[in-house]
Amino acid sequence: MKAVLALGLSFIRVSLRERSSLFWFWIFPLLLLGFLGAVFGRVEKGKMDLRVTVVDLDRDFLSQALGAVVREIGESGLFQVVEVPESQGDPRKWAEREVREGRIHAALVIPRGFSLDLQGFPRAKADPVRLEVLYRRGEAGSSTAASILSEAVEEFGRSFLAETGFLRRKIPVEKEFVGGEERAIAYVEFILPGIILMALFVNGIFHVPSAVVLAKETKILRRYFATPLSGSEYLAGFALALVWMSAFQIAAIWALGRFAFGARVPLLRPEALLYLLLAFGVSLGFGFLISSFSRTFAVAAALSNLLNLPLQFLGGLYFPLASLPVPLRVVMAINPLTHLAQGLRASLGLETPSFPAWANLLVPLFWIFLSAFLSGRRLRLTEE
Amino acid sequence: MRAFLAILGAQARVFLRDRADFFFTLAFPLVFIVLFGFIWGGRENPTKVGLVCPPQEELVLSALSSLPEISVELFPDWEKLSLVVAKRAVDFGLVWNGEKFVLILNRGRFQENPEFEMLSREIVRTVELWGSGLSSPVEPVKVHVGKVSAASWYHYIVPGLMAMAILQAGIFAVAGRMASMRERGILRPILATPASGWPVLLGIGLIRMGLGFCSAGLNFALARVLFGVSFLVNPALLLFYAFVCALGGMGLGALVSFGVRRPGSAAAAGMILTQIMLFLSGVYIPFEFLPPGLQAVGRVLPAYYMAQGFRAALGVVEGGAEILWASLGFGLFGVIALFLFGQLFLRPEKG
Amino acid sequence: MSEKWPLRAGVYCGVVLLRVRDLRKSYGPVRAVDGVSFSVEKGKVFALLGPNGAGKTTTVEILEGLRLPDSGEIELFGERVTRIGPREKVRMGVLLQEAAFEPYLRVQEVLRLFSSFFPKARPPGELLTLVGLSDKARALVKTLSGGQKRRLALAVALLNDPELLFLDEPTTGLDPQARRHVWDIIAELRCQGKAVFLTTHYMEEAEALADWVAILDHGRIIAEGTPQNLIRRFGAETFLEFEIPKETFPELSQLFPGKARQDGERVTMAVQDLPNDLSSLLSWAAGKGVVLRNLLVRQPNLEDVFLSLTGRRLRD
Repeated sequence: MKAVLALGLSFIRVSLRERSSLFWFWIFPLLLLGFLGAVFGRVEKGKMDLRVTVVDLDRDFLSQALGAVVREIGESGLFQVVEVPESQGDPRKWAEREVREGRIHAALVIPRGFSLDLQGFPRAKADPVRLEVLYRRGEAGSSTAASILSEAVEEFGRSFLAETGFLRRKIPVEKEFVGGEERAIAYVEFILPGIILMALFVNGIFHVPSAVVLAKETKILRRYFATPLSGSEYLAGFALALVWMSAFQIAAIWALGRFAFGARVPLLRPEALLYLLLAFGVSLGFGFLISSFSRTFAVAAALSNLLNLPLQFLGGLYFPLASLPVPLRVVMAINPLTHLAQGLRASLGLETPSFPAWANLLVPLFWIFLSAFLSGRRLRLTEE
Repeated sequence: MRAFLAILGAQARVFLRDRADFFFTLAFPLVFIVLFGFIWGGRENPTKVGLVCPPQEELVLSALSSLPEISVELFPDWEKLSLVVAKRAVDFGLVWNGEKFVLILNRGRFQENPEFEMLSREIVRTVELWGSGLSSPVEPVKVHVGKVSAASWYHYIVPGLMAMAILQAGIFAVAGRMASMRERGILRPILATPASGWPVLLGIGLIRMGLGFCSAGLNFALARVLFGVSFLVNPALLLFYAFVCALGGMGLGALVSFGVRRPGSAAAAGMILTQIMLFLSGVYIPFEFLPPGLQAVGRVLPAYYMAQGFRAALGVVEGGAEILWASLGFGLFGVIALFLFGQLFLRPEKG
Repeated sequence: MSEKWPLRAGVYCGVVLLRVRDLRKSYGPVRAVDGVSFSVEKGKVFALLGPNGAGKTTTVEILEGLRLPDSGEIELFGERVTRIGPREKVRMGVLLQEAAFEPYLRVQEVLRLFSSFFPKARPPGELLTLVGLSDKARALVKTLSGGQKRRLALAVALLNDPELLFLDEPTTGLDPQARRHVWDIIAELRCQGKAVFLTTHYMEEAEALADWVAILDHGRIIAEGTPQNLIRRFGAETFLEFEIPKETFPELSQLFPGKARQDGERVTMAVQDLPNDLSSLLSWAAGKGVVLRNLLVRQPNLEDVFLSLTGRRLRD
């Protein structure tokens, strides 16, 4: 027991003193939570730095009303409305150039005769009045701005018909949210469990090969085993260190989410603790699996990196993954991180899992046992 | 010249035999091209809408069927629809009781819910108009005024990843390979010969630059082959941006090496710098989504300009003078930093 | 003969702590250890001497429990063992040829860590003083020089106050002063009644410290005995060493057939009758106008023993 505790303390000391370890395992998860929370917290509140313009070629009361509607939307923070400079010769050409060159995300062009054509609708004119929304296809900001402008136009048309009495009835719409517990969930609350799982996973798949493969390669292990220390004591000491480190990481991530972003994530629920324990097991299992298939540390590092990010992205740790092509859906289904993320979030009341509860428990368990079995057969801490 | 060619050959052989280096430089970046390609590179599927609607309400059913951007699935009651929305089997749900719509959203689908709400409003408008025997009096028409090549977000990602591949290769050529050569004493026997140290620097730089170009090329080819994305390539502009990116990357690597005490830490510092640039340059996450403070940081980082430069060279964005001059400045910085690094790198060790 | 460290005879003689019979280990076609037998007594230093690649490290690593033999018998502390486990390791101290410690641990942390592997251990401060690393107690391992790391490894080997000590090339990489210091420690250990199993390729180390020397070559013990007996049995009485131009060597070797060996410009000659042989040599040199540079007369050593047995130097 003495040896196990002493080894555990040594592993923690080394992890804190090695600068790259200190950054990637202790600091990076906090930075990532802070970054994603800051970025997507804004987006969630509708705050994006989008710039749009309205080119009013009609300059009549209805076109001005439409322009006012767009400016009102801008005042809510969704975008900033850039006014067309007076000195511009052809405002439409100016707007097109500004959008094309990326200084403005989208431009609404209200054509000449808009007010007149609209007033004649639907009696005199059968066709709707076409308004151009200039944008850059594919670019996320521009597409978003263009969609908002298009919707503003459609809503304006609807309001026009309602006020002129042509619309027989306005249909009310109520909104309901489902999934998870009955409360509003912020993006930070959704992502916090994902960051915790990421930290646990990275801990396992990088620290284990370091403790096993690298220590063997640099002959540190051999020095240990020239003493009465046994292999299982060594691994127990390492596992103990990993438990302490993981517990601290989880606490730090939770605290940052709670006090910096006001995230309410009740991690002490028994079911949540179960998933955290499973996650710890999966990370250890993968770490040992990688170690058992790697003759050198360079190979282990390559395998760890190869598995790390794809499994994280395809586990829905950061974004919910709804529609994916079939091959990726298969990967998602067998990826233990998918089930851990869903199970953990479900236990925290943050979502309803798309996989059944038994799958969210069994898939990680399967990987734990498979890793234990394969690495038990293949892994050798000594040369003999 | 003979020494230089011999060093070129040796560095190429060293790279090909070092499997870990080979993997991280050439193979690993391809993982992201494939991953992001599957997520964003395919054709957009219609949004799946679950509907609870009395069978006699044909108007509602017809109105929904008329919208090409949605596909409708009918459900018998609210409970079943709610469950299906919660489990994400459909994107959102609508319940029509003859008087009002109830929009059912999954509270966990943060990024998509605004889009789903917009679609639901469009559906409601369509039902209202059809119910009144009208069509919409206005028709907003989206007109793409950007470059022809820009078809999806993936078209923006691919050039960004290409730029990062070259930038990273440049950074690690200096902060990784050269710094480690000095630390491990591999350089000393060479410096003890009549051969000047400059061929060594140039040799390593050229090989690493070539590797960066290969990596970028592989990214491009894979995106093209696997996901059918096409670009309008301006070869001269692409070559220009590739060179300044490589030079600037090596300059950054030199800067990192100056800044850290131990050569062994230079590679780690280079890795951290690369990760920061990836997040703040608009490669992974649209630049507009970043808070103003982070945007300000992003605009100072060269990766932002390199990504835009590559997008311009591949016909995705306009480019413009700002990008051109900033990139040229970056390349110039790289040349100066490399020269200074060379002076330090090749001088005899003190003590 | 080089200076001999004091041997305290008689007190512990005859108590065998380690006995090895017909030990064998092969790696494919290569027989690294080919039927080696010996014993190590309490209060004695046993040296396994041989060139690089002779099988010394393989032998000692089998006895340290780091490798498994193909066949052979090992008796440790009076009991036959098939596998060297914690029970044996508690009573053993080990200094490996390449001993690595976690670079980011401090020196005292390493000692405390290894202390925890044994039921009882000596205070780390005492050991640091013994090996001369007291001022490096708080230094990170990665900041230590090669020699300092070796001394740390020695301190770790002595932590549990072992009865049997395995020292694999203990002074490799040490400067002469540090080497003498380690010799002092080994001599003191012997006086305390420890059994020391030492491997080395430095013949002066074996001559200075060992009570018993076994010479290993290609996995086999080709000779063993006390250093003095070995030298007497296999070495000539006296050696002459000098330097002459290379081209004059053939003529010299005709004058002293089978006695002279050339190593560049340096010549080593084994002589039985020193006055006459020396006189003949000087006459020859005078007659041929050859200058004998750096002429010295020395006693035979274990290097000469090895050379006479194998035709090769220990350090080839």
